[in-house]
Amino acid sequence: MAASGVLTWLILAVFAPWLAPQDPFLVVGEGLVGPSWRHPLGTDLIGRDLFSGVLHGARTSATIVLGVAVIVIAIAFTVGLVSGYLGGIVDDIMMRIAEVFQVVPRFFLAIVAIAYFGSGVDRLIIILGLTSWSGLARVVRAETLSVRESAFVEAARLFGSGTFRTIFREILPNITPTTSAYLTLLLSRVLLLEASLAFIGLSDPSSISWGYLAGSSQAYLRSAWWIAVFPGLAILLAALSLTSLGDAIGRRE
Amino acid sequence: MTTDVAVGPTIVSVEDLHVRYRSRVEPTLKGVTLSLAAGETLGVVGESGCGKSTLLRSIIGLISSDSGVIKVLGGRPPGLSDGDLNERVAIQFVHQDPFASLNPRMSIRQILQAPLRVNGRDHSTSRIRELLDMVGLSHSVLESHPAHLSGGQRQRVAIARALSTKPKVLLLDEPVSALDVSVQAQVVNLINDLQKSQGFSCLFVSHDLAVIAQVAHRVAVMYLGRVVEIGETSQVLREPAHPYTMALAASVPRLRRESKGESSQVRIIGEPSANVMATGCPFRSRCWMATNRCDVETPLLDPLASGRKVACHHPLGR
Amino acid sequence: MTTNSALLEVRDLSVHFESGSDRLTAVDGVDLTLDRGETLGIVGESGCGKTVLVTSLLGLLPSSARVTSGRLRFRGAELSNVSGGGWRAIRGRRIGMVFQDPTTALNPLRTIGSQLVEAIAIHDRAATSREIRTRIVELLESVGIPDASGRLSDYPHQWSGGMRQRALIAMAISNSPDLLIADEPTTALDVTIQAQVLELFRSIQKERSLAMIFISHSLGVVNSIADRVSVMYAGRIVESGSCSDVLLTPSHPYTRALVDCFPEIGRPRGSLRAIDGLPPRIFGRIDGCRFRERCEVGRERADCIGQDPILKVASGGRLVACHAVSPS
Repeated sequence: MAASGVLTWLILAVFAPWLAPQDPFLVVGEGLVGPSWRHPLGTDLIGRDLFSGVLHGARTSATIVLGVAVIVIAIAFTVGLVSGYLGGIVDDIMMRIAEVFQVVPRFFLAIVAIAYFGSGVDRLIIILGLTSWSGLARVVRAETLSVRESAFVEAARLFGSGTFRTIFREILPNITPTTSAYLTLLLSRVLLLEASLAFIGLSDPSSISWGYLAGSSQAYLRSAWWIAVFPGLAILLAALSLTSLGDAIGRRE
Repeated sequence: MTTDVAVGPTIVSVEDLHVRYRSRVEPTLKGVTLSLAAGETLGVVGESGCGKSTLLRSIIGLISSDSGVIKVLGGRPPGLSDGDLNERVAIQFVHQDPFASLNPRMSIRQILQAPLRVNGRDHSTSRIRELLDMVGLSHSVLESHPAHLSGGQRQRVAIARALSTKPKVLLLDEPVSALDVSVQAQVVNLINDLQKSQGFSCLFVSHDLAVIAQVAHRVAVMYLGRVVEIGETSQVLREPAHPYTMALAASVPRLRRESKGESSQVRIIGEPSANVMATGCPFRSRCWMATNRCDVETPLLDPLASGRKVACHHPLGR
Repeated sequence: MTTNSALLEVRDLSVHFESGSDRLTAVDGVDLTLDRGETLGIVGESGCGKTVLVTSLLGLLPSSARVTSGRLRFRGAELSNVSGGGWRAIRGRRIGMVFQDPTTALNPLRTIGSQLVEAIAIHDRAATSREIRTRIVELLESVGIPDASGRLSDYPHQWSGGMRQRALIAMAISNSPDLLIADEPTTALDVTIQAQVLELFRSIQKERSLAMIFISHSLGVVNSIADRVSVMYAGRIVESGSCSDVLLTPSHPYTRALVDCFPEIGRPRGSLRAIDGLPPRIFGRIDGCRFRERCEVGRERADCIGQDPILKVASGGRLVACHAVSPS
């Protein structure tokens, strides 16, 4: 069930441009009009259709979350597996590096980085990816440490399985449940982080983001409730579907 | 009853092996000497703390020794260092726990193919089927995962995997201890049959003297890190020379009622204490024949009759 | 030996576990009788139901278990309708229990002394702490732990496996029960320690005229401690009688097979005869004999295929559930 939530989100994201009735940037109606037949979710401050906006927002957030996922998985699993398996000085060095990334306050670092490098989606993905991998790396390392001591890993070493093969064919498949669960929680936090940044105006101006939709009409949120509620609901549902997916994975094992 | 195997050249030899665990003060192996000949099964028996598992792991190179010489097939124990693959797979290991020694995320096919792949041998499905036939498993388990198999079936898979690279030496660490009695018998018979057909030499560790009696041509009895007696199995069990061997054999519960009387005569008191004085016989605190000499002088493994050795100042029957 | 004087009388005891639409029968129609001073051994392999059987005698089964019995009498009183509170009065007081793993049966965070105190104090509220302490020291020394008064403040991890098991035995007999139930109490112990603990069981039983139910998967252990033995297979008792009858001259094919595959020191190498296949888990109804598919005798017999054998009196006064064994 949780998986279908994520799936819906992804489908909307992929097909947004075809599903959306209008270009979300186009001014198509009067500003601040509530939900109506023509504009099911209302219009924003300058008259853009919110429904199209939410759909396109789905695409943006999906892109960002997936992009971050790729970076985080690549770095965290490499670091965690190698660190946990080899131990010793390699482990020490890698974990010190991870600590550095972990203690840095992500929100502020993101703001600074955006101020410096700009706020394009690609930059956002890199920045969020680089600041989020260390927690997952720790989890991967912890799991690797415990699986490393198993009899079947020993048996593999005894029939000649080299370091690379042992890590990726023996250990990795056995650590995916817990780490996947942690990964989905991490991604839902990334989603919220991105929404917060977009709310204060630090999103890519060439793409619609849920946070931006709510943030751009800030001053009128009290009277035009739909501007906050619908994007907010979208953020909530997306984050929830990620966390419940994580729960479901965790419970299955 | 005589040994029914032609004793070949020595394939594994251990001389005066000392191993100390990093976390313990007392050495876990204190000068172990024994040898394994081609085609035979040497049983190593003892209770917890005697060091039998440590011995096995030292021989295959998982544990490094402090002193002493181990020769496996003429060379050093292969261990885990990335050395010559062919050397490494000439000696293989079967773990005690069949629930832990198979990768839970792999199918039986993948588990059996892995060592063959890594070593560049034939890993075709027909070869895998051959392996399953060899250990008496139906081909239907190929795509199953270990969780769907029983303990006995898993242990058979572990044995098949160990034998897939046709090793010359097989080390088994309590391979049947975790299994039900009827399944134990199946696996014990399997190991005996396989040894005859495949011709490997076998080091079989167990705490169960009765199981050892079923598989081993010769047996080494261990106590607190030392070998106290070694010789041909039926002789050692019929006429034990070391008091510990006699007490061990007498403690095993039997089906014949008359032995109830026997066991009540020879019952050792107390428990093994590893933190005894460094000199003297480790068994003296529980031995009913201990003398002053036993307090002071550590007995060495001395030859008794042909092939028999015992480490005791007052061996029984002498 | 009339039924009136039997300490424990069980007739037609069955235990089912229900999960959803599945119904697993762990124990199916078991009869047991035990007198004071007697030791009954129950032997069988894993999954045969022996642990579930004795757990039901202690009222310790989980709520998903359904227990039905024709009769379940202990000391003349009917047990089957006893409530939770009633069980608490019996467990530990009238029936003592010793389980397999001394490491998990003792709380690692509390001293041995405090656990023993609790075992006594629960059932004897009138005793003062000094009285209890004296009793505990006496108990521990009677089970072979010397210098007990100095060791009451030890924690379980400081004692060896054999000593912990002795402590558990002490706990089990601390309130002078009439019946002692021991479920594989020596399985986790070294052989020489096992011999000592078995001897301890024997001497305790003699001193206190205890009735004992002793479970083991090892025929040898049961033979060394029990007078009578019941062999269980797939939730049923298939053979029951004196140890010397059943274990030395078994009648039931399963008992015979068990004896054949029991490794003994005197047996020549390679003489074990294994039983093919695996024991069944009973879901739903089973027609015919449960052992049939692994049985040398009954595999193709019509009566073994069609009818479930019931226990009948056979040679020597034993009970056997087998179509191939002629009743005496």
